[in-house]
Amino acid sequence: MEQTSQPALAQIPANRRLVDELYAHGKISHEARAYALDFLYPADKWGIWISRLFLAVGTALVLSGIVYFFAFNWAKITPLMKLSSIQGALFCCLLGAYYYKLDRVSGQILLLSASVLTGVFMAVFGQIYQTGADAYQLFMMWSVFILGWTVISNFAPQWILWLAVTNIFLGLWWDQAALPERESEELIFVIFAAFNGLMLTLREVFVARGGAAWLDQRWVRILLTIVALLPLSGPLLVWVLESGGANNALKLSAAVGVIGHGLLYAFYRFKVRDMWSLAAIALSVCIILEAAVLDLLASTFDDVEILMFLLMGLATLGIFSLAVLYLRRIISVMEADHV
Amino acid sequence: MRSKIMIGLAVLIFGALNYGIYEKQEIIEKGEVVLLELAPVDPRSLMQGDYMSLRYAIERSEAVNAQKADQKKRGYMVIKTDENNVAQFLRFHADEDLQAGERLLRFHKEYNRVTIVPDSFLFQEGHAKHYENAKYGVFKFDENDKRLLVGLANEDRKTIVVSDPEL
Repeated sequence: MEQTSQPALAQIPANRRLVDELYAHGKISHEARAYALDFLYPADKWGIWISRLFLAVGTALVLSGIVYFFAFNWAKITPLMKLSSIQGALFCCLLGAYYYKLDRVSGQILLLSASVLTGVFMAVFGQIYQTGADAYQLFMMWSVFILGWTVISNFAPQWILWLAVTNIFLGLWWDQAALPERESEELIFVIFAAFNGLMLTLREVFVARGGAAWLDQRWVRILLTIVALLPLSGPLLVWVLESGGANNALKLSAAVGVIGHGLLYAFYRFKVRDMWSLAAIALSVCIILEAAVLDLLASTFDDVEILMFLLMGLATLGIFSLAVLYLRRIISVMEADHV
Repeated sequence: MRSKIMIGLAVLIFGALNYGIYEKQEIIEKGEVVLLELAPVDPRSLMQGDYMSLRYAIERSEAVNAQKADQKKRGYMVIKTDENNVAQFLRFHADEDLQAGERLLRFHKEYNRVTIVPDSFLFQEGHAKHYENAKYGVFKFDENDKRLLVGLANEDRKTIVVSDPEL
């Protein structure tokens, strides 16, 4: 690819600093500066922000009111009444979603509410009919029921709900149905890493292919990156901190963890350059290093704790300074490349 | 198009949810009553808000203690009801065919302790005093040994009914 010496105008990000600099150098007039700043940071932005805040708080209060109503009148409301009223609410949400269509946020939020209510129904169902069924079954059914809606929703929060439900299902299923032997318990890290890694990969593939503007939001990427990093760093932390030797399952999970960190780093450093994700990866590595240093110091100085904590503090300063220096260097390299 | 798929899926989900209700109601209406004796517990320590932890006498019976070592984390035990509909432990189930009157009861085993689920009974907050002296867990079993905990019973094996929720 041919590299131009001058970056295209559209590639330079506009922000308050840039506008102020242009004004300070006399390139634009006072009016132009005011206009540009108003364009970049609209004056009514706080209004939108506070309106959304009220929407969220109001929704939360209404929902908790409903929950308390049911809890307090539990014995007075007949079981079928409880279940049909939840189904009524579910039906209303779907009717609204159909009316507003799924292309609009209002329709998507109503579908999300319907998905939450499906879970509420199953929780109440499990409380009325006490079968002693394992909890993983509830989350499994919930995940299966809302999968179809999630696929057609084109709505990132709907996917986040589905991911949360499915992750809980995987964890409970491993514990209650897969019934792993003690020496293979740690393989759950691999399962979590594979599932969430797959979801992150799908997200990047669909965004790269285009046509998924609803998915092309940075918070989705950073959230998925963090969720994928947790099961990757988990086995490494356990291995470092647990004094008893590692079994094969833990070694395998740790190997997956190291490879996963490497893949994520390579992807977000060279393929899609994203500082937030790189910072999350760096933080994860810092935490693992911290644990390693703590373990080393604790075994070396277990009778002189003061010295141990002093050295630990110095090591912490060192590790995080290195990480910050490294991230700053990447930023300057990226800025030089205008990415 | 997407809205139509959404409605189609909704129909399936409503069908599944209501079939679930139908299935459980069938057990309640047609199932046979089986009482499980509760092990004596200190009620105050086990009443927490709106549920009560249950321990069943069967879990601690000598026969269970003698045979539990070979059992896995989840399994079934074979029970039979006596003349008062109270369940008695016969043996752990090992895929053999059941004799007439024998039923399967699911159990969990953790740290060498056998528990029967559900091991808690849920009720409205403030109703704890009605259930303090419960002696039996009242189950309904259908012909496939699917079971539901439908209530608790007192010493006379009568199901405890909270008639006035205000009290």
